[in-house]
Amino acid sequence: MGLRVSVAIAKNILRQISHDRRTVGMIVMMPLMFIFLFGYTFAGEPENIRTIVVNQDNGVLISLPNISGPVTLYFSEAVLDNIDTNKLSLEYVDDLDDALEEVEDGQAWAVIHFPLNFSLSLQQRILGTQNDSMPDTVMTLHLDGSNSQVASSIVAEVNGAIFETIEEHNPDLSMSSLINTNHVYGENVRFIDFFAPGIIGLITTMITIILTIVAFVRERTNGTLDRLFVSPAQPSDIVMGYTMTFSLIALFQSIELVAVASLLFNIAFVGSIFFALALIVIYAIGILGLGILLSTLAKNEFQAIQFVPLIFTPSILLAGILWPIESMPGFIRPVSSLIPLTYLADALRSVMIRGWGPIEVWVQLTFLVVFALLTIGASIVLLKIKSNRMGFRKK
Amino acid sequence: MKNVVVTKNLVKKFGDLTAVDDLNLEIPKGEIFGFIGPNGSGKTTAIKILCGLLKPTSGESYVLGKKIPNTSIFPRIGYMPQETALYLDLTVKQTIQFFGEIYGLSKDAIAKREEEMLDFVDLKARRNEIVDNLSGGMKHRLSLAVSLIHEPELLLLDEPTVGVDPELRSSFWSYFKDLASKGVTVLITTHYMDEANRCDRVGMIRLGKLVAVGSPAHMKEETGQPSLEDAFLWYLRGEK
Repeated sequence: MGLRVSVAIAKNILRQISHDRRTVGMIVMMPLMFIFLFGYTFAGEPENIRTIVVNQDNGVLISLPNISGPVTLYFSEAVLDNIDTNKLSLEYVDDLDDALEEVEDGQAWAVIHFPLNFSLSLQQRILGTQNDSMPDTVMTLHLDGSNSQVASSIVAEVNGAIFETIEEHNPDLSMSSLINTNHVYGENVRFIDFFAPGIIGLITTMITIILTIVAFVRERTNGTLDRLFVSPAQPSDIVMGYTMTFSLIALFQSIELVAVASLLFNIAFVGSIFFALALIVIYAIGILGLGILLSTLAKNEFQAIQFVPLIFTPSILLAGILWPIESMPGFIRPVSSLIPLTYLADALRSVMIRGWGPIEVWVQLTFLVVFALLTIGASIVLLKIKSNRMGFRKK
Repeated sequence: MKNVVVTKNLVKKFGDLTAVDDLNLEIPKGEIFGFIGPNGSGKTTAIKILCGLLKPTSGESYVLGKKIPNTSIFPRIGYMPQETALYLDLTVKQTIQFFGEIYGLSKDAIAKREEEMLDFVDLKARRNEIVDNLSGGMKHRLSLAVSLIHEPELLLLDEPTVGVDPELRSSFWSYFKDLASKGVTVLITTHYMDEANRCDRVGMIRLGKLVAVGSPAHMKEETGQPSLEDAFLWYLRGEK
């Protein structure tokens, strides 16, 4: 029978889904919801962080070549000018205690305190004539560290502003003279570019696992699977039929996701779109096989749906989608390397940001192909056992 | 090949429960054979073994001359399970088409069988309706149509007339008789005594054991009972 039967089964599943409006809605809308939510929650960095400035800087007298007589220079002002006021919304307060009270009350996130001798001390540091005995020389950042992302934004912004100021006054001390950053890949890559490939994989996981598990459990509990088992359709025809339909759905969703993410967030896409789609479909086939295997462990649809978080949670947390695998404790990393999404996200990221092809991502590609072959093979064998076809006579 | 279905000392156990107990059966070609017996007596299990859906614990069976299990019989048998066993989100027409394709029928053959079958189960007017929206009896009728789509030589029908109104039931039976006269063998399970009366032969099954086999007339004669129902009860008492 073969192909014709598989096509009939594929067509049958598509027709069933097309008559089920809610499922069609889920297939079309779920990717959009994911990309909207992830895009808008994670794409931006913290802005308008209320920060209090207490500036007691006396300045330093310097002589400039084209102006006669000494001029007072305030390094503190220069530092403040270098702060991006979109990120830190600065407010000036004279009294340090009043300012600190705002942070203690949770009204402000930080106080930037410039002491009396800030300019003088900074000048000496720049010139290399430092004098340790001088009091009140160090700028202090009083920080509410209860939100680590806000806190690190403040620290990064203030540090950056100081380095810039030093660089302006003595180019020899500039950071860029010490470190020359060369982007081998991914110049101007933002966080969204990093996680978009993972989100594409995540949504493929979610939809494919839900649809297969529910469709297969329903096929079994309805008795239609028995009917197929007593027909000329082979277990391999049944699995191939499912594979065709769900590959098609995964393909549709990936195109939708890439299109929307490109339009709305202008995500990086350097490599081949066809190779990226091929990777997604291979992965979807693997997940489909896993879904068929899991569906045999469930008595009904209610039990079946309980497998979804079991697959989904490790995938979102451990596959290196939002947090790099390098940031996980050592004992958990081996688990990451067992999650198929890790390989898809990694390969997709390399294709989309680095522009890599099959040769460069052969390790991930091999894993995904083996994963798909194993789960599909195992589900065909399992269906053969369930239909008593193992060791059946053919003539 | 005279006997289409033969079972020899067929036993099926589910744990401690013996669902089919030493079943010996011979059903010749063109016969309508009825399994009657209380709920849970093993009728469905016996049919599932003959389909190859269940493996017997011991004993053997032959269907259409082949030792079961055997995949080559599938295109030649029509199985109607007790549960509706339909895709609820398809239309009636799509259901017929799908199973036609599964059995490898050509487009023209499917179109022809669609007309015949929908006419037979009186669902022509419902052709484009979603299966889930049909009444229970209609679903049952469609299910029967699906098992007949590929013109099988042996029908294994598990309670095909449940929820079907008397008029249609009667037309089903004339159709079965017609098929049988053309050499199709029908194995049917039923609770209705009037249906059992229309079988060529009846097998009474109780606790997995075949209590009596014979034509309805022969059974009434042997037990001296006025009706098949009384004969049935007589056999059941005799077993105790």
